[in-house]
Amino acid sequence: MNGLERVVSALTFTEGDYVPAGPLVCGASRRVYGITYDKWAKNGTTAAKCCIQAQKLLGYDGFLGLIDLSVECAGFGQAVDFPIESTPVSKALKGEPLIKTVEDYEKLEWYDPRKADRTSQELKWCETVVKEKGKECAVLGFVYGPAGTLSMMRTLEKMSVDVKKYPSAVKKAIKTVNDMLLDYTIAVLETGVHAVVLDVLYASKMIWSRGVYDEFEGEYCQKLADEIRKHNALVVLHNCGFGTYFDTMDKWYKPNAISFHYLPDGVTSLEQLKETWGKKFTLMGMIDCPNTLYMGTPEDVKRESKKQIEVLGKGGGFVLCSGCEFPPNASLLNARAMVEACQENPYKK
Amino acid sequence: MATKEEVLSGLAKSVIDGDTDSAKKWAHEAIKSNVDALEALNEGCQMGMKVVGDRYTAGEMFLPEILMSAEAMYATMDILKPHLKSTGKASGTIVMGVIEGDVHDIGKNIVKMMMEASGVKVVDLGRDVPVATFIEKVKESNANAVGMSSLMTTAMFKMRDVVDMLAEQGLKDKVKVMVGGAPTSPEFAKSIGADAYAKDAGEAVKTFESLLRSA
Repeated sequence: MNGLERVVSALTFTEGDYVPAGPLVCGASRRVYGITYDKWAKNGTTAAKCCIQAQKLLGYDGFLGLIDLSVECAGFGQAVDFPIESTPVSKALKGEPLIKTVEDYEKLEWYDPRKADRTSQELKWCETVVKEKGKECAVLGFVYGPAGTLSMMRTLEKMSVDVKKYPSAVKKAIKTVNDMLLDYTIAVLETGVHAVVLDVLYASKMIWSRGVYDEFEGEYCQKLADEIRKHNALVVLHNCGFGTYFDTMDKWYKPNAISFHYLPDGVTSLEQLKETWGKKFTLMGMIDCPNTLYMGTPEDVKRESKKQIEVLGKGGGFVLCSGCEFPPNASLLNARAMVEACQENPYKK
Repeated sequence: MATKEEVLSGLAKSVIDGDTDSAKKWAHEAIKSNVDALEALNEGCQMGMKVVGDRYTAGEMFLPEILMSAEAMYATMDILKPHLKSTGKASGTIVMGVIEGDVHDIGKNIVKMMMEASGVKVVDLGRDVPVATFIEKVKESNANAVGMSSLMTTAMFKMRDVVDMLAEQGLKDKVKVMVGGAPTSPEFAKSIGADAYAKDAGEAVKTFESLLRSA
């Protein structure tokens, strides 16, 4: 089986040769080519070449088109900082938000994601990877949800107060952002990706209640999921928060798969996770990024991987993934260890 | 004129509800009714924030609600502070900041708020704080502890440099080090020589108090 076939088998709840591996190597791939983070993040074709080279080296089964979380907000005019050795970050987090006052929410204007600098680079990433690896590996585009994108222009802290004090201003801006994201999602789909990952981080106990989430993201972002289905692609959600609302995410988006870091709200064990959610959609997770992939050894990674493969892998419906983007500065041997763990623990026929 | 009990419970409820207008009203009522300002802060606002912290830890309150409660609490402090007969004894001082290389400060801000609500003096250094600044501010403020956070693996190991520099300058035994943030863990804290890890704001306050008791 090739990687694409292996991922398809997992998504169709059948057992292939072994559980597919997706360590979500994104920014870390720059080290394979020896280029700085800013160069990697600013040029979609270069980033794609790095990712392709990293996949050749490490042998995983799918690609994730995540550059960073400031891609979508940049086109609205939000300034972004590009460190040489770290992930780009919206300058809103450094005290320079685009939305400085409540009135500024209304000033946001739709932009064309096919023309804007950062989103068009992401599209180049998708085109390049699909063209070169799309027949043998799964290729997943990535779109940050409307609430997340808006918070990159206001800060989560201020926006979370605004949802209580000025709900209509926030909703108007969410709609503007979502309209752009809808066009962006279509553009990503037109590159030929097999799936689009929607990052819906705020559907999590650590951030918003279910009610606030429904009102300020679910209602809007659902349109993106519907569009993905219309294009016969797969809806994948990502949420690396604590206490994620799988029920809420399922209600709004009817996902084919969810990528996650921690056990979701109401679930206390891997067994319960498989039993509760493992037949509804494919589970993509949940190797611990900081503790195992960053601080651990390849042996640690294999131990944790084996445990998850044994419990979550049965009957398909599981892709062994890192809980979030593979730590950009972690040892690449740990990404390789995830692949080896899958190969060394095949399905028992 | 309201009774002391009415004022204290009014303040606590306003803070829990995140109702700034009501909190201000009760703060003014405290002054009008001759309720001691320090008692109003400690037994009213701080009690309210304690409930908020506990509910947040239990997953019964969320970010918007806790931020609204903080706003209400700070509004009462603005009104009550000028009326404090004595400032009371702060239960320790902590120097806090997001370590160099990272700008995600929301977690640190919540911890700061909960610390202040518990009467701890907080020296907030903000985000992307250089290692040497932590040391400099610890010396300046004669702090009992340093609290550092990071959301990024690319920055978290800089915290070790703070621990090392405290040791180099002979401060490690006098100053406790606490760490927090999504990628950190008790194992990480131990690996860099920190004294403690706290998983959230509520735990951070309890950890700080326990470190102080053990000092």
